[in-house]
Amino acid sequence: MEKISRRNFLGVTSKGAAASIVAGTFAPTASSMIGLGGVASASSKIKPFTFAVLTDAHLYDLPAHRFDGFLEDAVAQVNALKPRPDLLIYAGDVGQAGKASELEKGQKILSKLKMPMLIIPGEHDYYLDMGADWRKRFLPKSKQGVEAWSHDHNGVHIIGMNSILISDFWTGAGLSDVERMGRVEELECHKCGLWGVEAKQLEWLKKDVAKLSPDTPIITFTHSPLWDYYPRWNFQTKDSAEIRQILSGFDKVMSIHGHVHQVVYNNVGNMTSAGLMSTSWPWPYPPVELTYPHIKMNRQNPGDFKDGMGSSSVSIGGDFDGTMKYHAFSADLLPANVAAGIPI
Amino acid sequence: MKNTMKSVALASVAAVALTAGSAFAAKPIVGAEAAEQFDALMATVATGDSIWHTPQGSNGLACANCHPDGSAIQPETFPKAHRTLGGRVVALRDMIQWCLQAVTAADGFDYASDEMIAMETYATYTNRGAVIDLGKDVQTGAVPVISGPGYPGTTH
Ligand code: HEC
Ligand SMILES: [Fe+2]
Ligand SMILES: [Fe+2]
Repeated sequence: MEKISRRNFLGVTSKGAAASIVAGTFAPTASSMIGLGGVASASSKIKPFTFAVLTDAHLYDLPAHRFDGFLEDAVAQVNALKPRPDLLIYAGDVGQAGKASELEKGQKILSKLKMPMLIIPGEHDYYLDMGADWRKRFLPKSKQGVEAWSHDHNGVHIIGMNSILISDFWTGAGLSDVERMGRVEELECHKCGLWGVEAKQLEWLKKDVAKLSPDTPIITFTHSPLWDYYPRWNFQTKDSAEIRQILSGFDKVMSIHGHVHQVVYNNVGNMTSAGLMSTSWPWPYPPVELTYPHIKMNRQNPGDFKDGMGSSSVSIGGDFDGTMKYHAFSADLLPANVAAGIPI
Repeated sequence: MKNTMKSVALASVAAVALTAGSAFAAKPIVGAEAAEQFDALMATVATGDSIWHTPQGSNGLACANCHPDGSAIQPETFPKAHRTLGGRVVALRDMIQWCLQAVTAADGFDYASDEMIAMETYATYTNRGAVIDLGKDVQTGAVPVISGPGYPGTTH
């Protein structure tokens, strides 16, 4: 299997093209086809590794905005991790209003990562131009059709999907592109409705995993949670039940998501989910009961603009035993049990 | 005195509840007047909603970025001593003003202005039903509401 390497990564960035790498960036070799169509890798074949995750930078089209510095600090955080993570997944919302200038700024900052990056979109990247600039910037040409990818790394099958597809609420209402984005920018958007991955990606997912054996370790990345957390704030993916159904034959699935701007954890069937801190602002816990109320972050100090945020990394062991580590900017954000690392 | 009270009590059902001093009680607010007052309140909520969702300062941030549906405002816990404001006992509008200025880099609003009243109204309305409990150490998520198109009660 061809590993995404530092060399490949530099090859892409030095061309001044996308600073990111997704699975499809590389010409498939015989061995890299294993996860997509060939013999599935058993979990005993996992070579332990670590990956990092960043999400929800919400960069503004304003000079020297404080969120720029937060993302830079998070990049420095993951670059300094020992051992250095093999790769980084960015879980959506690079920008705030989907502007090219915001995405360009994000791309520049993320190009300082010392490991290759895989990326999925968030709603803030998307609804100004329906993802056109985001795709051009972050997705290779081969991936322009379906915004879903999979990538095999050290015996683990990693899947990324666009979970923020909303049915058209704007045409009938006569909204301009900017107005549409403005609506979606609000977490409590009253007109937007629920989002999900929709039929095309469900079909893609079915095909992607069809030939894998049940003991293949699976990690999924989506911007929003693959369970009904708090639909009011789109802390959900409307077709998550179908996704879980498609993946239900596997021994174990890890689902990692952004969008919630907070530490949150859940378990549905064979799927364990973990939500991530942002690098822009934290969100309070919505008024619903959590399945794992002890896996939370503490309240934040409003006077400390970096409180409630940070990066994370996951170490994967030989038995597909994962540990999620949250790296908060402020020392006292995480209760001891969360700071110690959460099994995933 | 005794006789007077008795005759008042007999005079009407409504009067049964009256005590001597309550001859000066205001009439209950009902009908058109009540509707008018409610409409005025909801108009102020709508103004507050709009301010809440619009950046007031220079860094692009609106209150709604971090406080969707008025969450984590906890109006029911004010007035209280707040570490953010040096441990003084402060009212909700003091904290609103501090957030406007410090967090969103705005000028802030005059305490008696329509804008400040509207912000306070929206913040309190979205947390309606919470039990007043000054100084309580909580982080609440505002009033639970359902998702989806056509959610009633707001203008956007
Ligand atoms: C960048 C994020 C952010 C923005 C923008 C923001 N706040 Fe806050 N605010 C916070 C955080 C974090 C807290 C602390 C939450 C907690 O106490 O758990 C807070 C606390 C508060 C509190 C005090 C709650 C309490 O019980 O102590 C009030 C009131 C408040 N904010 C009002 C506002 C208003 C009004 C605006 C808009 C002008 C605003 N905030 C904008 C992040 C933000
Ligand atoms: Fe976000
Ligand atoms: Fe999001």
